[in-house]
Amino acid sequence: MAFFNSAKKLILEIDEFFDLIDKGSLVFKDGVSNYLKGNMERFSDNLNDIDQIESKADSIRRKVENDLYSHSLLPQYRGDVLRLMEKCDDILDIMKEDLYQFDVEVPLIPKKLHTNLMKLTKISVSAIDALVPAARAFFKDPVSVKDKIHRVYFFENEADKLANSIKRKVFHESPNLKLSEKIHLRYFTLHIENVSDAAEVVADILSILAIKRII
Amino acid sequence: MILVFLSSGLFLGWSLGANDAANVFGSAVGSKMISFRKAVIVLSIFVILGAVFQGSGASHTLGKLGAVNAIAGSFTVALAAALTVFVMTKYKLPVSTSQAIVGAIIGWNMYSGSETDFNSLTTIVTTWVVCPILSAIFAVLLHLLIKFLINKSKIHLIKLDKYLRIGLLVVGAFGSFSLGANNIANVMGVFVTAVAPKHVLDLGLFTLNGTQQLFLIGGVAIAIGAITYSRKIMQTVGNNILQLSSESALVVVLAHALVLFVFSSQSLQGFLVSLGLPKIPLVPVSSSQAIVGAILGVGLLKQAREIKFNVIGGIATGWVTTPIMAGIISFFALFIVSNVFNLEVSQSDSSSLTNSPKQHNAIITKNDSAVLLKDSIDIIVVQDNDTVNPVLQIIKSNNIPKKTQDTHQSNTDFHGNEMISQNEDSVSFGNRFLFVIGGIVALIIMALILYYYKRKAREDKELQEKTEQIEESQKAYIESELKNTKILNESLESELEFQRRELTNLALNLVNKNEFLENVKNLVKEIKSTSEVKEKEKLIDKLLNQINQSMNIDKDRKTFYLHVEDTYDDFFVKLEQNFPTLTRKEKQLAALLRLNLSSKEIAHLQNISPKSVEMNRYRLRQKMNLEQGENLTEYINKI
Repeated sequence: MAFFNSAKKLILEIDEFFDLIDKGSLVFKDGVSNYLKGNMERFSDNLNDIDQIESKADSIRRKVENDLYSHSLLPQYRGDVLRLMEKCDDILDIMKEDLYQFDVEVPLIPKKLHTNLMKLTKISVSAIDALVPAARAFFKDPVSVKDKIHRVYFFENEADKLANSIKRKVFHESPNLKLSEKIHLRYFTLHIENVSDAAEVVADILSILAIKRII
Repeated sequence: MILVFLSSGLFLGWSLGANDAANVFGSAVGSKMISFRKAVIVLSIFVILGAVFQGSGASHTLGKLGAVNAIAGSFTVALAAALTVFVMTKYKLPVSTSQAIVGAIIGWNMYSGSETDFNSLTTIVTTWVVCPILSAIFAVLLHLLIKFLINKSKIHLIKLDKYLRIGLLVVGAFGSFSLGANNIANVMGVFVTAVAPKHVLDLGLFTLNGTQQLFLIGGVAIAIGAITYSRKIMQTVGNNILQLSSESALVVVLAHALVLFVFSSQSLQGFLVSLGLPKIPLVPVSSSQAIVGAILGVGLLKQAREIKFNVIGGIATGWVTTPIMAGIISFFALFIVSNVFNLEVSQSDSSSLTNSPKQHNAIITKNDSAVLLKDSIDIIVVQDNDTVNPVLQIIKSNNIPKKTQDTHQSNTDFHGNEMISQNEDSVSFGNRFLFVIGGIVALIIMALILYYYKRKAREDKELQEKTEQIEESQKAYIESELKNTKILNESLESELEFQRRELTNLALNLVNKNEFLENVKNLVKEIKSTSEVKEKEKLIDKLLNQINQSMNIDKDRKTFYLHVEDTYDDFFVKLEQNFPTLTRKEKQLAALLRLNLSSKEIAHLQNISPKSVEMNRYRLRQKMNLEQGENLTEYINKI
């Protein structure tokens, strides 16, 4: 019975890890929104939340890694599962880093860009929203992974387009901004865009892993 | 003494355990799904159970092919099979004990002059062909079923892993049972007639007859082989032909176990016969053959992209060479044992009386009386009622009618038989001579094949080493090239970055200076409007200071444009080539746009109004033939 209990525990841990990724994306979206609206107190709460989420996800990932190796579980997929979790953890790292950059660098964001930046954040987070079910499906239903990850690619593409449009607006349609401010804004656009890029990296890994499982 | 003679069979069992254990648990242990320790414990238990309780079926078929009836003969036949397995394993040729023992028995038949039962031989050889095909069919069906079940149940990968581990262990146990049941005949089959104890062993819960006791010893030998020598083979097997996933490994082992079970289960045979279905022959089949068939089935289902067909080709070669080699070794080994060590390798049964006259005469000389001869015949008849030969019966009924018959009379009768025997002797001698010649030729062919394989293996190894060396040196060369290019790129990039930064700084500096001149202009206006002398002087001093500071403005601008032209050297050349009508000012504007400067910044730099910059941009667009909606800066950046 202990044989199956350890498996059940591990399944719960992996599920919790993906819950944290999902939760982290919501906190990130809320954090950017609060920053843009100037709700610095709530933004500070978001920072604390994402900090905790990231550290918990790290600890779960290490625990899963330890369990997989110490109990010699999933010998053929162990490396793949750990890589998948590591890359998902990278997304959390990027979101946490982004929020901290907002906090430390306090970028000046013109009001006319607020809507676009918020939209970019939502699209990037949507990529993660589409990614998490795909990652869960890899464990239970690898055949459906392909159907799920195409949404990640779509959102990543949309995020790229929107980010370019924001950068163009900053450099071509904002004569009142200093070059330093433009560059600063460009970096922040890039930071938010990076979240969807990281989701795309995980989607690439998932598509290969799903094929490996189906064959 | 019996144990000494059994040693060759035990050695054969040991080598079977060492090699074939990998067929059952190789994939599971190789992929680390099951530990080696757990695998050999399960294998040892079930292989013995299979051998003891279900081993007699296949052994009976092997007995029909040739019942080796002298202990030295059994020893030699088993030794020949074991030697074949050893030599072929040494030369890394795929080998099967089933084929080796069949070859060795045929070798004994040839040496002893016994007839080979071609019906049994045909059945055995047909089974060799059917075995991998059946295994492949089982594997395909099971693979489809398991895939369907996994996809339908949507079971979590971790749970699936656990179930597969249990499955591999259970299927491995079944495979071990079937291996013991089917292949024990290879190990102990040749000893059954000559060595099997006559008494029944009562173990309380169950009893073991003589054959079962013999099979128990053989099963233990297989288990010891698996425990002592199969680890390395288990860790490398499975990946030789096709990379197996855990699911595929389960399917392959199950298909293999089913095939071995089908060809060894008397109960299944009886059940099928009771249903009116054809009788399945109980034949020792090659475990490796079954595994290869199953892997091939799975591979074909996966469109065979990963199958290493050369390995299968090698195995097929082994299937042909193994029985031939075993037969030759057996024949020559029997010759040596019987003539050098003077051991009886075959008892004078009915057929040997016909085909081996020397033995026949020896019996007569030894007994020297019909009474004794009759007694000996009686013993033979008692021992083997099934194989009572008509010739023997003739001898029994015609030549020794009564115990009281005159010895001389009987000797006279035997003289007649002696005449027949002499004729047969000459025929047999011719046959033997042909066998010897054929054997030598076959031995030479075998030696050539082995030499070819050894040479090929050596050449392959050398080629591989050379290829690896070349690859290593190429890799090192490419790496150093990459490193150099990377360093060069990095230095070029840093230089470029430095120049860009310098340029941008200079541009910003100029913008500031222009703004500064604006201030000066305002200051002059202020001086002009001021009436107080003191205040005027103060303002003039301020103005002078500011003018002194901005004395280098023209020089800076010139330096800036020189820098621009220097940095974008290629860009200016391309501009000149693509748009030869552009003026120097327009080229400078293009360069500034390439720097991503806004119209306002360019206006400051060129000391013109933003409107004029817009006008210049418009002219530039026209000269560059840009269509409406096409971005000028993007276009310039692409040049």
